[in-house]
Amino acid sequence: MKQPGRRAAALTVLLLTVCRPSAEPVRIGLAGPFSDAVGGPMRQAAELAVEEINASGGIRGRPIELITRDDRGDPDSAVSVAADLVAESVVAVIGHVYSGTTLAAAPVYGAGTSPIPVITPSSSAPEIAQAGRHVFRLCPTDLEHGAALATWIREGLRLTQASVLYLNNAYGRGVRQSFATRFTALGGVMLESDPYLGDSPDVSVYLDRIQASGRSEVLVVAGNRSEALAVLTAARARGIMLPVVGGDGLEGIEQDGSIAEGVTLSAAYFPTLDTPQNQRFVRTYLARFPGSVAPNQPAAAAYDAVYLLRDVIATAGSGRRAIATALTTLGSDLPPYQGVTGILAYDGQGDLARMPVLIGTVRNGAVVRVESSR
Amino acid sequence: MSFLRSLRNRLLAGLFLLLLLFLALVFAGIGSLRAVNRAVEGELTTLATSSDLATDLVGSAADQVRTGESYLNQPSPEFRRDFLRLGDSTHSYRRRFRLLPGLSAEDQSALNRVETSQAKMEVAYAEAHALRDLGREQLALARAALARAPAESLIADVRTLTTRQQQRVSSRIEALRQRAGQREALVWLLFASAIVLGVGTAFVTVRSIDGPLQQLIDAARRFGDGDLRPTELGEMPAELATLARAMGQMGARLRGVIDSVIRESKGIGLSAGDLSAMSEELAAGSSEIVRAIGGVTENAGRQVAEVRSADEVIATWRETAARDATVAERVVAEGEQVWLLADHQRRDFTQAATTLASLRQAAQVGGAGARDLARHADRIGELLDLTRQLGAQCEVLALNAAIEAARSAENGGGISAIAAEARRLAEASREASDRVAAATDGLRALVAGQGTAIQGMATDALNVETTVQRGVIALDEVGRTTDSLRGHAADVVKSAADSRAIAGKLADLRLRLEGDARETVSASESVTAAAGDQSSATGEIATSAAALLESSERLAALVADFRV
Repeated sequence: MKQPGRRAAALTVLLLTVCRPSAEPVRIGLAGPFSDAVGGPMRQAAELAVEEINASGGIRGRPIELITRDDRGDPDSAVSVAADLVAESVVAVIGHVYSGTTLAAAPVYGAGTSPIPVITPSSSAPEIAQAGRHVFRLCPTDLEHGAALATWIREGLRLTQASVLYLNNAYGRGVRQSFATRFTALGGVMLESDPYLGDSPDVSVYLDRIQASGRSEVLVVAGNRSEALAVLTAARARGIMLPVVGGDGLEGIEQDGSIAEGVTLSAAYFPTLDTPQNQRFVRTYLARFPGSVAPNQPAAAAYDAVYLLRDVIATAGSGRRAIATALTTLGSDLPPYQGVTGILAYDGQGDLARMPVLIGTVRNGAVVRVESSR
Repeated sequence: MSFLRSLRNRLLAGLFLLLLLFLALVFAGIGSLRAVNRAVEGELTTLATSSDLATDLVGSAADQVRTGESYLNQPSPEFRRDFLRLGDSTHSYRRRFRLLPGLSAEDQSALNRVETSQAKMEVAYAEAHALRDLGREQLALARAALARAPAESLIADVRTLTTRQQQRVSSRIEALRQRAGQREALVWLLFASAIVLGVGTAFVTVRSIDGPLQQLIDAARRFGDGDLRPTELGEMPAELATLARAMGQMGARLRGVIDSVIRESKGIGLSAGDLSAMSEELAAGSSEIVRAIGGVTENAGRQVAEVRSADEVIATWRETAARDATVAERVVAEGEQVWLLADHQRRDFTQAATTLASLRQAAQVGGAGARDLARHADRIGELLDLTRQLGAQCEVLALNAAIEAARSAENGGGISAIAAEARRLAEASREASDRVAAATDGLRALVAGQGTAIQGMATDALNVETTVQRGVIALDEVGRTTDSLRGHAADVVKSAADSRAIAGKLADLRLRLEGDARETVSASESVTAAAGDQSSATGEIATSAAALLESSERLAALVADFRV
């Protein structure tokens, strides 16, 4: 006796069984300091990109599953987070934010026979290029930031004597070194180079010496936004009104009120960029996360990283080695990616081949672009 | 696995497998050595590098501490630059240390601690230097004292890193040693496998060859002993199976050949008997032909003699015809005279009577000539019968010769010639007989006509004589009768001329008959010679038949020992 109902049910089960592997999600790791003001927008932007991609059919029918881990910006936590993501069998990792955490976690991702490709949105330390062929970044290096700041001070502000306060980690040292090299090369004089520790820097003694010498024409802060804010507060409290210049670590400082007015900073991204991709991204981001401030560079770069991985996996497959190989050839074998942060193409060493460093000044609570390095 | 049914393929596969194992052995051995060498070299390099980096890192940190302390004692820009430079060097060494392969998470954490310690130490000295520059020396010394703890921690962590690195290298080398031992065991296992596989392949191959080969040898021996009966050899390798099939086919063919030999020897024996009997029949036929040809020759001789004797008859007939013509001319002349006498001498019955008596005598003579001519025609008829008999015998002879020629096949050439000659002779005899019969029939008709005319003339003469005896009054009738007589005389003259022409034709016919008879004699002699040749051929056939019979017996004896 024929039983069409059972036959149809069996066919449905068979189709579901056959189709099941193609619906297996593509697991991508996301690591960063999500609890702070730098990493939080990055997580939101990455989730936004994943939602958009999955809504449009995923990667060849496979949805993206984002595995997020908070490293709190700490290298030790970054190592354990990396080990956790390795255990999660992700095909790629977007992160970490800081150069120190990225350098700490890179060996963990690179261990074994199948290294996990890592795309860091904002780790700009020069050593990132030596962290392994599986490590890529979506930002200029500190060498470029420091050099761009030195050029702007010498040629834009026409100042000669500078003092540097730097966060004593890979990032701060990198910006300090590249700044000093370019600045002295352009005829500038480095008066002070003083390190500080993060979180709650005590730079009063350095400021006292700078004030006592009275020779410095510009104060360079090679650190992060909160540290720069502390330096600004201490300096202004002492009546030191030197112009304050900093690297991309100062990103978002325009949101810190009037004390930040006049601060000049370098960055790979400003939310005010007038490209259609960026305008759409900022608009979508603010609509998706109402109450949030405009996305920062790690957020925009993480958004680009998700879409870049989508295109690479769609072309080369979801194998880790294939992804890494395809990323290496981005801009040569594969066409450059036009993202929110600009045109992305790699130089074969995991660094972007052409990514301009932007110089902006905080005016009226917003960063106004005043220069571009290229 | 039909591929392995072939001995060649089996041997090739075995050799290929052995070669693969040998290559695997070589590659495994070489690969193991190279891998161990590379690993040992890499580990030693890592160990040396880590040791150098640790030494440099610790040395650089110590130099930085020393420079920091020196600045506190005697501030100078050089010390500050050196402090900064040494700090960068220490960071550089640490970064390079971080890039060493095989670092564990604990190592990474230790390096993080080193970085933190260095950062704290540098910041402590930097603040101390600033305080010193600001003239706060006590505070500077106090702040510098804070740098010692991180400096000691840095050195301790670096030592821990170095120690752990040495332990790791030692454990890696131990692991390499174990891996080398495993590779060595694998190589020995492959070697033992190769030996087992080689011996096994050789054993299986030899075994797969030996059994079927022994079966083939037994089968070949049975063949050699003449036992050609088919045997079932069972499964065997492809090449031996091919050989077995070939032997089976050869046995089948030999069985067929022997069956054919037996059948053919029997057939040859029977054919030899038939040939012997046929040769005897042929010999008998030849004797008959010789005898028949003798009779033909004899008849032809008689025919020649009789034809020659016919010459005299024809000559006599010709003379008689000439005389008849002369007489008829005289009858005409006499008739003229009778008519003249009857016309002019009606009145003289005596002369008339005398004339009539002479006329009646002449008529009697003509009747006798006609009877002689009829007798000659009868004799020609007898001669014609003889010629027809001769033709019939020639036909019989031709028929027999044709039959024998057909029986003798290749050796019947001579007989065929005889048959052809006999057939031509019979046809010539029949044609001559037909011609003579036609001439004789014409002659008989003429003789009959002449006899009738002569008889009429005699009757007329009697009538005239009667008339004379009756009287003169019938003189007019006598005159008319004389006219009639003169006409008849003319007819007689004409008949005589015809008789002479017939006689000439008979002479020609006689000449042709003589020629035919001579040809018959010549043909008979040829037939006789051919019959002689046929006799010798028949003898040879009989000899060959005997040889064939002997050969068939020998063939039967040759294959008598085979079992099929």
